Amino acid sequence: MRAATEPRLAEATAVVERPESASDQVLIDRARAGDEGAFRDLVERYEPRIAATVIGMLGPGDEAEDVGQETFIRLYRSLERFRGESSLGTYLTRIAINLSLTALKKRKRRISRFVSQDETERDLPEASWDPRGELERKEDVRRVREAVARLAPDHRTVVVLRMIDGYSTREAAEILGIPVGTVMSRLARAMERLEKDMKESHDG
Amino acid sequence: MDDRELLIRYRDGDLSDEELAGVEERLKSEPDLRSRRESLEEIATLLERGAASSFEPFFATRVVARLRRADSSAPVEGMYEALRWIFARVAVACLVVMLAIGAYSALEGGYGGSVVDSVMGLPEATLETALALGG
Repeated sequence: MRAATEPRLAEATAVVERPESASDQVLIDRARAGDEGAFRDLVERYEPRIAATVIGMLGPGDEAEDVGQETFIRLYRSLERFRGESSLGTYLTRIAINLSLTALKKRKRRISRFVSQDETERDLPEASWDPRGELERKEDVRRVREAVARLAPDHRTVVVLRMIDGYSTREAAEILGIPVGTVMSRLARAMERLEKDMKESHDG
Repeated sequence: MDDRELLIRYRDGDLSDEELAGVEERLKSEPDLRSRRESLEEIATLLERGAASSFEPFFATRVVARLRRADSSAPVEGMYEALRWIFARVAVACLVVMLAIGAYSALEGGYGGSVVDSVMGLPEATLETALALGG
């Protein structure tokens, strides 16, 4: 049910001066007041970051699109409660990561219901690893994405936040609510796994 | 801290001067560590290159449209909630009335032989009462 304090989108939005450089806080205040254009600006501003996070976690497709949309819907629903303790980007990334992890759990349940683990592993695409071949670069990008998709969700999360989104270890720890040391050790294990995966598929 | 963590922190520029000097010294003398560093750099580059920068075109439009749909369905949800609230209270009121009638019937007596018959207000089921009911 909608919260009583939740803003409603104005069907006919009043003409409001909205300079490109309007700060997040200004846009948030306008969106709270029902300015649809301000909310749209926020979505456009943070789409690249959230796309990198969600597609990094789930891969491209309808599921990522849905989680991406839901991330911004959750932001809209919580505009009244957003106090700016963390930056809007960090706040959105936290929502996106949590929704992505939930989607991964659902996906796992769906797969385990219909496909045996043996089949799942057999169906995973093969990869090869050629660190020197420029021509193979595009293919390598695809393969490293697939290798990321094979990581355990908690390892995948730190890889996405640290290596794709570009958050520092401290920021990633803040987003995930875990110690800095845990982020670092998970990242080290994940990178080791990725390296092995790429090398093995290249050698095999 | 293992070597991989050390290399990640080296890449992040997150080492003290002393640690940094130690790693650079080791990189000069240890081919295995150098190779690990190259692999780490290679994978990091591939991950950065593979990062998505947008969803399908007109993403913001779809988000706003979804919000509008949610907004327009909100009054219907509100009506369901109101009906649920009313039905819950009507059900409780009915239960109270039924209990009151049952208690009155049981206290008045004179209906059936058993407690259940009395509470339900049922006459005693005998041949005479059946004939009396039939006129």
